[in-house]
Amino acid sequence: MSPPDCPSWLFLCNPFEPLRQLLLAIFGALLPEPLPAIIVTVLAITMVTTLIAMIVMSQVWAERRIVGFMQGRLGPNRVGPAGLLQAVADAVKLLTKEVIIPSLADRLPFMLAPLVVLVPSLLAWVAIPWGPGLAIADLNIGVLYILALGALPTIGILMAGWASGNKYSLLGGMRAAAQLISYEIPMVITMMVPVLLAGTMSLRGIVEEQSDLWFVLALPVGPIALLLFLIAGIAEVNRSPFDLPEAESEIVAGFHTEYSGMAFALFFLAEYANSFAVSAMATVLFLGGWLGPIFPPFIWFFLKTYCIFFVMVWVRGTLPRVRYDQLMHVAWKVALPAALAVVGVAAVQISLSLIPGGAGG
Amino acid sequence: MTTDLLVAGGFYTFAVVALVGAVGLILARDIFHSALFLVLALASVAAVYVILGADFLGAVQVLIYVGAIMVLIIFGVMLTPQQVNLPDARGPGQVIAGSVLALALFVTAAAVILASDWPHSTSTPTDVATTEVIGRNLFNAYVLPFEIASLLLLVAMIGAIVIAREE
Repeated sequence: MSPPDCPSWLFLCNPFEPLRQLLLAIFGALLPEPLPAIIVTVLAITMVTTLIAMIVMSQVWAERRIVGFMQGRLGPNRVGPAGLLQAVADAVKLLTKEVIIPSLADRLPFMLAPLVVLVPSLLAWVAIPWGPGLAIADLNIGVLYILALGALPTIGILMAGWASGNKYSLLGGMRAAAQLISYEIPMVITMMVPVLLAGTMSLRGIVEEQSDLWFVLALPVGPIALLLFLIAGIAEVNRSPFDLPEAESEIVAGFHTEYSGMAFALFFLAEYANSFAVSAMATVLFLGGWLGPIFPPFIWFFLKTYCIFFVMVWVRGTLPRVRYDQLMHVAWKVALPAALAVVGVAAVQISLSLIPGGAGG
Repeated sequence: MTTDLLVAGGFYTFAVVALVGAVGLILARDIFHSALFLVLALASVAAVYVILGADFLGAVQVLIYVGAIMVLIIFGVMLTPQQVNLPDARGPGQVIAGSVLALALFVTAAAVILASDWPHSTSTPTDVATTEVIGRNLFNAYVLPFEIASLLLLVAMIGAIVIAREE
């Protein structure tokens, strides 16, 4: 599997390829066959996890500042230049707080729940391509893998709600689970539209198929599919306006009421990593991933993903929280039929070869 | 050689985890813990699928079994009254009869498994696009079972809506 060709004049197109070849050569001389690839993969995973931690810090800062400006106030601006070290301060605070386990809590599920929520969001980053040849693993079931991982945090949230031994947590957990399973269906169906247009489930293949025309511009299904994907994605990561499970004004803090210190930090990290993963998936599936002129591809990837994340923060600052029955109404009576219609129209268009840009496997 | 070792090691690890999940499911005192052990067992089976090269099947196992079916089972567990402690009124006769029956089932299953002729494949087709092969078979040779399965799910859904609707 060789990375797709980078134009020779584009500096930093694939900055890690020489390093990877060097490491493979070094380990290949020392160890028997499948181990060098495994070790290089483990190193890549470590690097990506660290990068995600730093990206989450930037997201925390960006969200608080942007929402502050939208609400007519400055956000945090005291810790570090323009408040950039606020996330570091938050992290230090959370790490030094005592992790309190309530006496009525079920200990093992209580402690495991944050992990069950966090680990799938980190695992999703294995398949997402940051640039040509810059995915940790180019899975040929990329989209399905991401979907399967998106279904796992629901169990973690149910564990957190149940094991806390607290009726507010239980309410939050049940609401969260109902919301997550309801919005999973439009998300899955909408994600089939780029798969149909590209003819492959591999994320690298989907990005490469958009080199003529981004899928969001494949009218009329593209923009509607992107909109539906973003709605379902925001609901899947429990962000405002769909943050009923953690509605601060209604049920204390929902399923993570009883969590403090490091355990809460893991939930916090998971929510931001998940929202960045949803933004990255929107970029890869609809906005052409790392494609773009002049700049190095991973710069384009970051630019597009941050734009989508900005839209998510914008929506948070603008819209009020939806009511529970409105939430379910939108999921089952609006988003699901719309998603099915979009997939149907896309399939018809492909079979009649009416897609602008000539896409369609 | 090392690959075979890794494959065997991975298989045995996940097989042990699946067995732990299955035994824990039966022996757990709290029904919520049983549900969590079942999640563990199903996830290990998905891992075994991936080791065997059935990538589509492994992902679908996690997506459907763990992500949807287990969530619904946990919902059901959480919505049933928890204070009901089943009386521990089993006499020694029941324990003996249960053990004999379980042993008989195990011996039958083991005998059938050991006596049948399992085909040995000499190579693992790791680069076959399993999704395409499954899709083609499902919509050409096996389209009738596929449609009947979806009809079955539709009937179940309609039945649930009819039973649960407000009068």
